Amino acid sequence: MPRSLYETIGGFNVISKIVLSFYDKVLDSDKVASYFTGIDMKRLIDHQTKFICSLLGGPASFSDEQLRHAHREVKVTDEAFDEITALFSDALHEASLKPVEITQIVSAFQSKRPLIVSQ
Amino acid sequence: MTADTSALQCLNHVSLGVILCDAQSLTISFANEQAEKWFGPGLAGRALPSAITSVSAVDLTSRIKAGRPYSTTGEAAQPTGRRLAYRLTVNTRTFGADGQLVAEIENISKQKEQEYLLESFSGLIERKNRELERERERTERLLMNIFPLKVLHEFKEFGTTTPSFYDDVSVLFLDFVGFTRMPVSREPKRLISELNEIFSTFDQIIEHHACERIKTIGDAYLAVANMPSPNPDHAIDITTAAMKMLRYLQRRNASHPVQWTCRIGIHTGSVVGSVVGVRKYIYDVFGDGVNTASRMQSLSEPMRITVSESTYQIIKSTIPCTPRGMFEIRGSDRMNIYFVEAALAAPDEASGTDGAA
Repeated sequence: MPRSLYETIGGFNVISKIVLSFYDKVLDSDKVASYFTGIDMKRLIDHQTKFICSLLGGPASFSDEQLRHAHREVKVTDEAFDEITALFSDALHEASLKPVEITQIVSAFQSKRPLIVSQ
Repeated sequence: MTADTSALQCLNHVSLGVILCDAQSLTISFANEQAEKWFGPGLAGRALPSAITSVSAVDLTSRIKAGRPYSTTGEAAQPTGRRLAYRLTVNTRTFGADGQLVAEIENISKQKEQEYLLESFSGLIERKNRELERERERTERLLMNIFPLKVLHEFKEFGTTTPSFYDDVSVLFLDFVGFTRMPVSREPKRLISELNEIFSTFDQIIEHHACERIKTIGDAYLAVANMPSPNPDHAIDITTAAMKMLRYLQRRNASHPVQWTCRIGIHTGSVVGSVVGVRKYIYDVFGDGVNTASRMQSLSEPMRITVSESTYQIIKSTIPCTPRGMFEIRGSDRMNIYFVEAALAAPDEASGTDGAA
């Protein structure tokens, strides 16, 4: 069986670094932090852990429907999504992933745009 | 306020939030800059539980009365939009004559983030494990249908099994008479479902008598006793099982439009048992014992059980049989064979399998 990206990059050890640094960056960003105002830490971290794990083929399944549902009330703009993508990519760089892995993961991330950006 | 004001000013330069309040009224007399940054300006003059909502006045007072520190954790919204996770610990300190409470507040956001991450992740893993466990059970049940338990254990432990020779095995062959001419042949779905029901009942009877079902081949049914697990009463047990299988069919036929008629042959001899196949495994039996049992079946008659000489010698003192004479078994080999006579008698014996039917 082919190894998932999740295993290739180093499993939970690396995922935890990505999740925490992504969480930090998003909440520190002037452009997007406002989207997360008032959301409790536990829920946000839980959501990000599941999302990132499932994006990489780890032990989580986060369906597109769940993703759409979670963002349905939030008016995410394309600009905000671009910023979040950039922050996510930064987090992957900091976790010392290979450029080819980063490209692959970021494009998987990008593919979720229509589910998250409000039409 | 008896504490020195300049001493309190020092508290503005620590990274902890520090709040002093009156032990009785819980009114805040001083809050350092860090505390005001986290919980908003103008804390002095407010009661601690109203300024910091995670503080319970009742719990705080009772802990302090008991001379113990009070501790609570919570989250507070920050002007940056980010939430702060904090731990607040209250101790009694005496300044001069007044009892003052000192609340120290630590930022535990990083700790909490890791904790939540771990919680979320372990939840995922546990769910995954439960899924795997269910999957494993499904696989095991499937394998138990294919392999005798003893062989399954060997297979699981070593990833393979070795063919084993068993020299004293009773083998049962059952075949339905005129299966292809049966009226349900025109309704294959119904035929298969009836066959499935009958074979399932046979399986229960066989298991009940410490025998082992090996396989079904179309409408034929093959079972053994004394392998791979030992059963010293193999010949009697498998003959009794055969009698119960016949009785089950008789009772079933009495209340069903479709009549199922079978022939059964039993022989006791040597057999080799082995797992065969690379991707599609089956546990199968080979050898003279199997061939002769098959021959007994073909020499038998509808709704009768025919046993070979070797089986007869073991069961004759327990189960009534009648000789059928010498028959050619294979090539020039000839053998005395017998009908089991108890098949149509002793209806009370069927009670053991009532549930199975």
